[in-house]
Amino acid sequence: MYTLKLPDLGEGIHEGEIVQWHVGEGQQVEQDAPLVDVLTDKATVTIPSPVKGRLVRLGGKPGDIVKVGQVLAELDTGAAEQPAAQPAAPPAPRASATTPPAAAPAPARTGPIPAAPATRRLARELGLDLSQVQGTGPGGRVTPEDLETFQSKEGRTGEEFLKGEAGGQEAGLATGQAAQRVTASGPASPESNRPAQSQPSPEQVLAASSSPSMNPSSSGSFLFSPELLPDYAQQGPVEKEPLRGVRRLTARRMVTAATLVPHVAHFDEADVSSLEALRQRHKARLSAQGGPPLSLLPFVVQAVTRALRAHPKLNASVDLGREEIVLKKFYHLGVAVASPRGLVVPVIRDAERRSPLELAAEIDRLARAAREDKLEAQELRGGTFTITNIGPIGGLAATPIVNYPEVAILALGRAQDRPVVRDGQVVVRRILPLVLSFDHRLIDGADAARFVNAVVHMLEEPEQLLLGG
Amino acid sequence: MVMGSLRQEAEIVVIGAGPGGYVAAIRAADLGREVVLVDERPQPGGACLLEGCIPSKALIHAVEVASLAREAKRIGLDFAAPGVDLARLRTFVSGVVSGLSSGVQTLLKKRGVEYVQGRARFDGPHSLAIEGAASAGIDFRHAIIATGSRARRLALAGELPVWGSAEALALPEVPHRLVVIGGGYIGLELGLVYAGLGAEVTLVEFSPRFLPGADPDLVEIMVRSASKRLHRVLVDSRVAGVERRAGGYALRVEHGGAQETLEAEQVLAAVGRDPATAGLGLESLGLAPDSRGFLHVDEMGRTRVPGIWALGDVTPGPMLAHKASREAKVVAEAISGHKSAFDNRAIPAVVYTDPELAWAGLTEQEARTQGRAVKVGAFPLRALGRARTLDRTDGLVKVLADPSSGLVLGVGIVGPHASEMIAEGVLALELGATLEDLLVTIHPHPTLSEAILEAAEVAAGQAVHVLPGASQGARA
Repeated sequence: MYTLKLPDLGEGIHEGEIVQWHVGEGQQVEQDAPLVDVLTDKATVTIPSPVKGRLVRLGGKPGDIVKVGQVLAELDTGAAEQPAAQPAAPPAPRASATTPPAAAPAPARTGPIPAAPATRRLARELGLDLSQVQGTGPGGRVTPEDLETFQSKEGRTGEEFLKGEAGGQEAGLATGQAAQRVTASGPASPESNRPAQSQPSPEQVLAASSSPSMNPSSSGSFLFSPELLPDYAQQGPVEKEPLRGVRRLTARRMVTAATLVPHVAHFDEADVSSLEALRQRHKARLSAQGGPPLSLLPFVVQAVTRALRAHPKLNASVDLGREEIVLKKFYHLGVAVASPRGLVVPVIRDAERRSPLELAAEIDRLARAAREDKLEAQELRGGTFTITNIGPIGGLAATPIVNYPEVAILALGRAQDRPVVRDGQVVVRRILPLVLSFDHRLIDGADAARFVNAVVHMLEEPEQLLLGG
Repeated sequence: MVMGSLRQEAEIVVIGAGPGGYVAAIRAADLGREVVLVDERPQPGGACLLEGCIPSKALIHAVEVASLAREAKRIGLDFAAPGVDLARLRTFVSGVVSGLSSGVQTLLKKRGVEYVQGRARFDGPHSLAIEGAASAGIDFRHAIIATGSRARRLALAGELPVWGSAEALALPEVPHRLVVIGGGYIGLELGLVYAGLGAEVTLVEFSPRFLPGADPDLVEIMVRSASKRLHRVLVDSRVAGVERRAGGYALRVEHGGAQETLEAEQVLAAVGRDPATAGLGLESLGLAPDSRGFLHVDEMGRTRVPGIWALGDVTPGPMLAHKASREAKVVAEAISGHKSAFDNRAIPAVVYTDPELAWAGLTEQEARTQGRAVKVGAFPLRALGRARTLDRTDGLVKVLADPSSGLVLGVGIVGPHASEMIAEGVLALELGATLEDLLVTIHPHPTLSEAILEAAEVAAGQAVHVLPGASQGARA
């Protein structure tokens, strides 16, 4: 018997949502053949079967969340653990010959957990596993009150979750025994149901996040939902759809970032007239040569990368659990892109080693892959700073939320010609509004101002940007 | 294909309008979904309503009335021997069926569920071709497969026009002699109906006993009563051949080493039902039924193919209308984004023999096979006031409980109205009730339902109506 656990899929990923099984229970599967699609972070990963064998147990159904280290599947490999003398031994269910499942199974009980149907429904809605709940009713029957007690105890899941996120950076790109391949398949089917998780208050979470005693290795996932919504169906017709996939992940991450990080926004603008002139001079030629479309973005990435090298705190993370500041000596710049599945942030790796033209090509490639839903998992992780370019869509400026556990994010407004005063004269210049949102735990207003000054300076002096050391 | 016909679009298409399909359609519509219901038959109801549970129960009632009239002599009432007017009986049965079916029709219409008569076949992951309907096809987001089951044909009979359950329920005639092949609940019920209508009925069962899923002590009481009405009951017997004879059939039956020939004017094959999953075009979905034709689903009713759901007889488990209806609600709710799941603890089994047989949850023989210790409290109807007043003491109620926690694990009943009484046992199982919960619940007196209280008392060792020390029926 081979026990496949959800492998460590890399940075900050603690769990995955099962999207679909390629093999049914009881079916044979070849080694390296696709076994199951798991939605992790923001990509769908196909996990191939590490061995040849018969799939005897599925670790979950589509829509279920599996944590890293939890059993994803059990495969009967036939004679693997038996001497070859007994190849015909019936594949009786037995304990794994490799290692016991990460999560200790509930104490052996015969039959289902006694609980009334209404209690069972409540447990489903709260996302609680009845077998984990101590029943106080007659005969060990689980009551609604037992669920409440269990849930308030489970509030700690929240702390663990935040802790896990904070410690996420340490995990490399290691994968388990299973290689991964990203498919173009969409997110989990919308009808899939996953019970909401326990609901600690933000206060609990904040209090918890500063506690040094937390265990950094464990994590839980949940959506914060401090109070129940009113029943809008009483007011008028409503439509409901499950919160799944990228939307769910975005919701979770935004709540984490917004509740954990004290945000401050710093506003500035850059006169990009010279840069724009330079861009216009080369744009047509480049596209005639089959090059990538030349927008302002690659120049901004270039400028930001330079500025980050000079201001390392902006490229850092705060690990509250260990009370450490993690200063990253690599510059992987995330660029927020709208994809069919929602907002994704593909990452330009080692941006400091790329010229503006190379950056333009990479941005073009990643944006295309995002739109076609073909981003690889590793293209979505490892970012150290994020740029969000909302200008082309509209608006003067925006105050973004940091892409936690990064500590700063730069929003680009719309570059447009504006009357400005230069040497006592009103002249028309191309102005790009910039807003830097940052994590005030680590970065002070002066740091942010200096960083943005550097970015602005480089954008205003393209020669320095292109030549400068 | 009808020329000029149009393709339709539906959020949910339900295939099969039986007690699974129509319930799913209604529940989904009530949850705000747009639903199209497709069935080959002109009216909704499926096999259960149109040619199964409902017509058979109407016939069973008629036979019961006749039987009561005959037996009333014992309590001082004399009736003339009941005569049967088949035409009027048929009218009664078909009136019941058509009344209920048009009721379902109204329920569907009032909710805006569109009913399409035709044969549905998947021709793509989100599209369905409809044969024999004005609709050329339906494009859907979700499809619910609720096509139910079909009576298995008796292979030995070949093309011979032996009856299946649907034919027998149409009541074409009452044969002088009827051989019923198959001692499952359908064979038992219909055999007793025809016996009650005056046929000489021989029941042939392949296995050594009837209703292998039920506890033998309960079945035995039922078989003892039923045998008095049947001409012959042959268990452990194999039908080796069926031949046409002038005015009927000759059946070669093997029993042990011996062989005998049974002659009968009519033969009813009640040899089981198979899931109706063939011909649905499942291959175009990439969905394959298992070797027995079942579609496997999770607790929400999802098949392996996104957007394709299945429920009722096409999924594994007992082929029972009430299972299908419950699953139907789960599927409709799950599609609508509710956190629903089929997590039921017990699916009651009911056999409308005389006396009736019903059970739910763990049986004694299952407990034995699993090596599981249980406390069993059994209470015979002959000690029950209400049973005496009905002059019906042929029955037994038993309650199984966990010896340490007292949790009710199973209930088995044989006796009149067992079908009604079992509901209390099912509720106890669903709620996770203990023996004590049953004991403190006041049961109305005098009723048959008191037998459940009595059996629970026996199991708990607190029986009032059992001689002290006798601890009759209490087994550990």
